[in-house]
Amino acid sequence: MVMMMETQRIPIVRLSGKLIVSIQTALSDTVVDRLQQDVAAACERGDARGLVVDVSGVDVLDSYITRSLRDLAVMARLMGVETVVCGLRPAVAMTLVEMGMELPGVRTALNLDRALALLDSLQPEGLPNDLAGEGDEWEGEA
Amino acid sequence: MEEGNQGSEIERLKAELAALQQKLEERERSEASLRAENESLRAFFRQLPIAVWATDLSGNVIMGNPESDRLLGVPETKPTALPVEDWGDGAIYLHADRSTPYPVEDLPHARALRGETVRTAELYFRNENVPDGVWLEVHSAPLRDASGKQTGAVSVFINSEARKNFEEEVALRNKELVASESEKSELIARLRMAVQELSTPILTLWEDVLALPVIGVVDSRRSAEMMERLLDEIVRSQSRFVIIDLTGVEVIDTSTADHFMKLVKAVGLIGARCVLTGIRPAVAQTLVDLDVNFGQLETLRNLKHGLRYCLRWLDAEDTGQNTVSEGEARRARWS
Repeated sequence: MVMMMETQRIPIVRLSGKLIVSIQTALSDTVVDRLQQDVAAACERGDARGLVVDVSGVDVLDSYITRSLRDLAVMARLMGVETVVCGLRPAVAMTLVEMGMELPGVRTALNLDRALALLDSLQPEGLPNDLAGEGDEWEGEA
Repeated sequence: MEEGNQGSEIERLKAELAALQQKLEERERSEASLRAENESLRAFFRQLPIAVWATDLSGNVIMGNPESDRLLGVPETKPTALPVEDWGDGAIYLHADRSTPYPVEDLPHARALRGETVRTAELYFRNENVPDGVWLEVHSAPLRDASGKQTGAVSVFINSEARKNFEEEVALRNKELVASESEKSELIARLRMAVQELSTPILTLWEDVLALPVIGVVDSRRSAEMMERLLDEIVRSQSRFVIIDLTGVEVIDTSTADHFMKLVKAVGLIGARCVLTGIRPAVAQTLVDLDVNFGQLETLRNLKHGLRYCLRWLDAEDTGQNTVSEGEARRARWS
């Protein structure tokens, strides 16, 4: 328990049915592991339709953290939550490409605004457009 | 009996005399040959084209040839017999840089007098008889007698004026060359930068649409530069689309293709999208032959089509009229 208290936690903000994780510090392996657990728990509650991970404050992404972010996105999608990573810095993007780690299967957006718009445009599979707005209710009934 | 004795004594003395005379003649002959040898050695020494100079331990000149007198400006009337300590009087000794004074006790000959062998010391020398000064290359060694006891020192002086001048000229030339070289490399760097600026302009084609016309050969250096500038520009302008126009690329190889793939991936990572346009027939042929996987790329015929494609997408996104099928299509294309 003491260990957990000491671990820095990234806040998960809930906004109109979407989860927003804004990472503005340097990431360590423990912080990322913790974040993965927290996001999984938040997704499990069932009222989220999208997840945005804003990494605009991250200067360096190493291979482990990159993989963890990808795992986080894939995990969230398996639980029915689409994930968009936004705000990747040019230098970080170049490094990832040079190292051959390209976040496969993860959507990206320029900024938070675009990420939210992109999530809005992604409808649940097989759901007509006009029903999308009632996603929460529909999900609640099910 | 006595007479007979005397007679024999006389005979003996005569013979002795003859032997002595012969010995004397021999001695004279050998002396003459020695003298001749000495003369020839002396002549050889006097005519040596380099200056040789020997002193005893207190600095009195034992031997010095005319060349040394000429080179060191020793007056013929006054034989040099100065103790070592007084060599500094009336003469100036400088190091090879022509400004540091050469301490008298460090002169090669003075060091040789202390029993040291000095090879190739360079010094500049000037006195009243040599007012213009002279560059000397000096070699000095101690003189020892048969028992190994030091009796003095010998020095050889070589006028190194010509060599010195040559060296100075070479150094000067070198300096000039280095200067012109650095000037040239600076110019080249500046030109390269100018060419880079010119060769990869990033145009704002429409709201949210950037265009990157690529002209000429793309090497790794240029592609890295291109990627850096393009990504920075995307983030700065927050543009959602980039059209990379390859109309100006006549030839492409695997590494260039790889560069473009990386560029496209990096653009995708920061959240914008790439459209490739204007792929020339030769380039397309090469790409097919090389089996480069451009599969996940959007490639269109020319810039016009590229822009139209971008505008259609932007329009769809902005009005929020994404139909399910469009979303599906995008998912298929971009994930």
